[in-house]
Amino acid sequence: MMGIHPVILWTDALVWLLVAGFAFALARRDSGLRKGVARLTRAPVAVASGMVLVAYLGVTLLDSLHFHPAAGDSGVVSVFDLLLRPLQRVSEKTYSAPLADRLFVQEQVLRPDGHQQRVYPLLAIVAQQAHGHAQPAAAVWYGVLQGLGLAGASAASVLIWFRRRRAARAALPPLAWRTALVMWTVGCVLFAVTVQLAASWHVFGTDKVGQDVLYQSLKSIRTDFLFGLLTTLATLPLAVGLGVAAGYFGGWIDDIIQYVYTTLNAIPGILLIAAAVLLMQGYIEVHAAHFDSLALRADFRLLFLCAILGVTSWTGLCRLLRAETLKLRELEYVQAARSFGVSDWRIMWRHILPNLTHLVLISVVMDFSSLVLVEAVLSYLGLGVDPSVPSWGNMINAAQLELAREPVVWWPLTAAFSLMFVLVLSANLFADSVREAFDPLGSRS
Amino acid sequence: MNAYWLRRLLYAIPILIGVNLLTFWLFFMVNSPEDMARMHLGNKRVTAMAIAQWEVTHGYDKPLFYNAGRKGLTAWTDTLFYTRSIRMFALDFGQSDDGRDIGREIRARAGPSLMIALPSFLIGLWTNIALALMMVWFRAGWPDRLGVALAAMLMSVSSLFYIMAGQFLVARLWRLAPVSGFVPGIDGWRFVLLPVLIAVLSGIGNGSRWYRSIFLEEAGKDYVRTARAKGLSESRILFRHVLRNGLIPVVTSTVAVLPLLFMGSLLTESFFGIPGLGSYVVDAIAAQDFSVVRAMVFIGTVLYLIGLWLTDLAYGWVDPRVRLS
Amino acid sequence: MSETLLEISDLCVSIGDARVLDGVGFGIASQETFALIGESGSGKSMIALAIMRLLPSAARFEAGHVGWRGRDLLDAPESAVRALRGGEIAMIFQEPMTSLNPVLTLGEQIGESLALHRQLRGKALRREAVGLLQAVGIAEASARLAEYPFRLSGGMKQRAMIAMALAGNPRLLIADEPTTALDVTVQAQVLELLREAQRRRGMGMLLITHDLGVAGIMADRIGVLYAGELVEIATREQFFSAARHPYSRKLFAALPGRSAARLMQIPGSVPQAGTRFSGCRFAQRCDLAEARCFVTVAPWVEVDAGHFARCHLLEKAFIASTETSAVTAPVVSNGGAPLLEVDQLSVEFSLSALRWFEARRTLLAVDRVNLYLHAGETLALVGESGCGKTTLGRVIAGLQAADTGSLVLRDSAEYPTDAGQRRIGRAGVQMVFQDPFASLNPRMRIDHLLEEGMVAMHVEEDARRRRGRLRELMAQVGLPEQALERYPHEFSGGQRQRIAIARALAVRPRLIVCDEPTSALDVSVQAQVVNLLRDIQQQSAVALLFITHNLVLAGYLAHRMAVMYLGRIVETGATADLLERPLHPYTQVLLAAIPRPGQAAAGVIRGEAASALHPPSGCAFHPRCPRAQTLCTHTEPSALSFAGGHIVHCHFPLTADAQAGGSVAGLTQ
Repeated sequence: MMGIHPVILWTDALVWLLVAGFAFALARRDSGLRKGVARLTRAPVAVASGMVLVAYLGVTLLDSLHFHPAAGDSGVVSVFDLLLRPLQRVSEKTYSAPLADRLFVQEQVLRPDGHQQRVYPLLAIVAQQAHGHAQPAAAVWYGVLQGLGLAGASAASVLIWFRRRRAARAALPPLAWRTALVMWTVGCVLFAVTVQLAASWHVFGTDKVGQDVLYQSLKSIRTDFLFGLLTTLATLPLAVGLGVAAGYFGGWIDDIIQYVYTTLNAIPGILLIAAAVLLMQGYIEVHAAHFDSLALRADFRLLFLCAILGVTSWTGLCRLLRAETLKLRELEYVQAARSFGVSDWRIMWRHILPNLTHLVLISVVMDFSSLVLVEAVLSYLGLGVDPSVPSWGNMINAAQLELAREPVVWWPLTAAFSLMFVLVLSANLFADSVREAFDPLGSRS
Repeated sequence: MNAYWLRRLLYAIPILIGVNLLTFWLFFMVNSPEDMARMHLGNKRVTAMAIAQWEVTHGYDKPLFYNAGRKGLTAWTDTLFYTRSIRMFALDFGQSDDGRDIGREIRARAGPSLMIALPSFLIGLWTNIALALMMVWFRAGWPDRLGVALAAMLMSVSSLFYIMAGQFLVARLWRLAPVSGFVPGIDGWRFVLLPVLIAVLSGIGNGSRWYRSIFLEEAGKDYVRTARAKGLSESRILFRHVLRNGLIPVVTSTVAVLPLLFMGSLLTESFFGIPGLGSYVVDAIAAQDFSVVRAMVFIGTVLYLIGLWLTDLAYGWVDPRVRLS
Repeated sequence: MSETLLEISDLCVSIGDARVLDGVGFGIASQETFALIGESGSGKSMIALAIMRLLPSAARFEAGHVGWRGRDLLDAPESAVRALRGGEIAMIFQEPMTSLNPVLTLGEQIGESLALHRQLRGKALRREAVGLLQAVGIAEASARLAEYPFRLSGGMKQRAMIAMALAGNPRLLIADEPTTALDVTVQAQVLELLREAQRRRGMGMLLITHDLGVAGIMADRIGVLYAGELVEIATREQFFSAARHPYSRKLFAALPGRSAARLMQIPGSVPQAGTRFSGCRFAQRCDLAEARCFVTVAPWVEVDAGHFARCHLLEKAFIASTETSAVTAPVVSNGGAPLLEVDQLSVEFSLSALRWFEARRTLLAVDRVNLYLHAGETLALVGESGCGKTTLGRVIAGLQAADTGSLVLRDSAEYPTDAGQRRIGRAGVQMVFQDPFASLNPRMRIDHLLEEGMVAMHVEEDARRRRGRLRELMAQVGLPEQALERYPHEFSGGQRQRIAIARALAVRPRLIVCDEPTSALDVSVQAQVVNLLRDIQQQSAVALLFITHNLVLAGYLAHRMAVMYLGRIVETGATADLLERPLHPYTQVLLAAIPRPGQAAAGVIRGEAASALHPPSGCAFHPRCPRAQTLCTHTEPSALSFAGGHIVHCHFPLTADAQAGGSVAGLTQ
């Protein structure tokens, strides 16, 4: 590869900024956050689900480093694409089942004796292997061994590294070590088995146009993860700003803010989103010239979608923060600050906001999982991300027809749902742990 | 007391006006009739003639707020704002893009929607409360832990999956119910069965968890300790003391969503081909029919406000502290 | 003939790996009241729950027996224990507000017990319920049966709780801090009710309390619990005349009395529940402790007939039980203009949540109050909950605007006349709040907390000198310098209160408003804070406005006192005058209601303070006043001045000749 021409999409920039911001917050010596994190890392469920989330986040981040493959090429490729190149290399003609040798549909072929015959043709990925290929079971066993080796080696090297550095060890929060080790081993084995299998088969089969389903479901991770993350991010400025202002100042400011969120709440959410999305589609169509590449256009659409959902769904958190601010405002330390003549803005910044962070954090994590589910529904309704962008919603949308086929094509749907289920379940379990760790008294039911 | 209810009722008016202004702004100012015409005609090279023609046939050829061409009151009434916004207050929704009367359509579709939504809601409510009570009864024991884990898994499954898998397994593989379709009246029960079952199942995860947390919170209160110290049995404590208090938030939140059941369910109705309001909305979105969307926004808002009002009413009904003070 | 009801021996309960109850043993006979005294976290409520077998699920029995009339309750099946609960053994709790089910009527809640334990139904049940409510002094009992708990005042709720407990005809009544949440006049009523019920029914009673005074007037025998261990059991007479355990003796010494001597303070703070110990649990805070105290647990020794104690040092004569470094009261500059003058100050609260149509309902929280305060002087503002004393304090501290009247702080233009002004801070007056856990921002380090006011007020602009000042402040309130780098959650309640005092001192105020600064603290820690306030006043001549419901504490700390009732100051005067020669009947009632050991019973008056929403006409106190006449019902009394600046608002003050007439006896029934 000669020279890299990086492209920074809007969503790339936002997700990296977000991660950097969170890392910065963790690094600060904020007692509340640190104590909560320490409580999290002691809980096995939190560690297990957190590790899954980190894996998804890792894929998202890798898939958010974009560049042009060559100067002058308007196509956009990510670092993750480079890693997935083996999956993309071979594509088939149409459907093939997971780990199959042959295509799912019959084809007319001309036999050497001149007869037409309907056969299930050999897959390209099988044909390309020079000296036949082993059975999947053998590849699985090989992958398991490889994975165990990988896990063992990495664990040992981490152990040795920590032996040497006492300081690093001391700075680490307490961890549920056994869970972490088990999860790491499972992850390594899964990874190795998949790599082994993917060399000779389509692990999740292929779709209608013969593309590898595993590749598509992995590429969907970024879209859905970003959708959840950026949407919750988009709700925060409105929810926090208006919630705190309404609770702290009260009076007519409170009246207006309450009126605004009651009005927004009164509109059926899906219709408001539908209206906004239809308008956005119109805008993009009319101003197609502004987007010089397909990727930019799809990216804008994703971003705008997040913004729309953010603007329509900030009211719940806002109401919660308003109520909490009302309580905090009467607390004696706020009274003490007021008796010193500390300005309102400073009181909100130093006394109110830091004591709301746990609620914001809990709500962000809780909303994340439901937003991933919402993406699928929106895509089904035709209101979701751009059809050209890989996403689980788009895959499910396509699978609706596949389920009606005879015999049924079940694997694209299964692959999309499985990956989505793992992400949502981890997010849900993690959200529970976060709530327990940061809000032991349960101020939000 | 009467002044209070009157005030609650009047409070709805500014909200309705706000919703109306917001939708009008979204639909006619951000997205002008001309843009709409372009989008519908699809073509980038549309002549001004064609656009004007489209606007006339669909009734968008009026000024936004003030029609200088008319005299007297009609200068205000013969405008887009009046015909598209104000007349909604009289429940006059005009026509959809394919020329049908929206009001009549809505009246016809509310019934089928309710036939799916109401049983789903009631059976779901009952199931979730029962499951939550079971978990609270065995709190910290294995049935509770198992229930919590199952609920977390159930709520992590996409509602699309419930519908698609349910349709595939029950209707296609096992042939226990029709795949889709609808017949009004009592004969329609076969068509209602599967959608209701799926709707109940997909709501269990969230619902039972939520009710469990409500009941658990009540079970930790001081008055429960008092009840134990009286020597009451656990079942009496759970059903008389905990449930009575725990049902207050349950009933009020139930009442809040009750009116919205008329709106139907988008996914269930469109998958099962039920001619309700949910599928009406889905079709309107697909056809980009803004008149229908706006009418449904208006109706949804009104129903939401009725829900708010019923919530207040229900608080007074179930909570003596509200009723008597 | 009294029968032994309850016999506990060697009871051990653990939570996690911490013993929260260790080797507890005592017995209660019928007609006897046994008082368990202990501070927070001592495990006293745990004992009550252990007897009822209602321990929280995290706790488990390790050893011991709980005998009930010859049976062992710990081995009995659950159904047998359940039959006892609410039947033979009944219990009442501290918080009447939360201990009643809010959505069931009193009739339903009392009826539940009657149906379960007495098998009553229908009319008989109703008749019995009415009888119970009448017995606990609830008027219009049959109408009250249909009432929900939220309609009752705190005292009424506790009466209803007692009625519910009596419904099963218990042989033993366990009362867990039954009057802690109540005002002192209501406390006296409830205690009287409990004594009456016990006497009439011949019940045994286990009274759990932190208040030596309550134990002193109620108990036949007393047990002292410290950190899960009984350290002493004695009859009331033995205990109050010759307590043997160092902890018991120090509890007495830590209580403020009428002498001006510095309070005995017990170092450190009450150990948190869950602490693990070796040796004597009190050793760390005991100034007599020897090496063996830290290693081995002392034996349980009978020092006198029926008087037991657990201490290695029982043979030692306790000479130094009270610190004798008496302090002279600071000189008060009575000459010259006062530091603070409050003139005809009123504060109204608008209660109208229904903003649009209804007329505003207002509550007069502070009603035409006059007071003054000199530099270096302590004025105690005394009254029951809801009397407006906190609101008055907040107005003086500038946290709230007054509606009418004036406030003048000498040599200062700081009080804005414009009530609507938003920025209200001022350095001259600072406030120390009641709740040590809510008064410090948990997310800020101590040094930032202390600096905040100094920066905002421009006191000590130079960062280095500010740092020096912070160190001085820490030394002044008796905390180590390293405390500056810590966060609030690392400190105990008493320490937090000292930090709050340091924060107030940081801006060099001339007046500190202390709003019940010790009411959330344990007795042994309260003395530390009280002594600190006195020391500070001696060093810096700062004036203190000490807001409290505790007359004894006020009498100890204050030079002058002001008594508030329903927003009005009804009496002010020098402390000694006011305590010894109260002129207002209300002051007299308050004083009589304080439970004091050695006194037969607290003085009781009927009724509870009216709501400030509907204040009675004329003199606000007349509905409860034993001396009220028709004049009082329609005409508000004006101020009457007596010698020594003693002022009273009463038509018929208790002047010397009136007191001779024996109205005190009339008050105490």
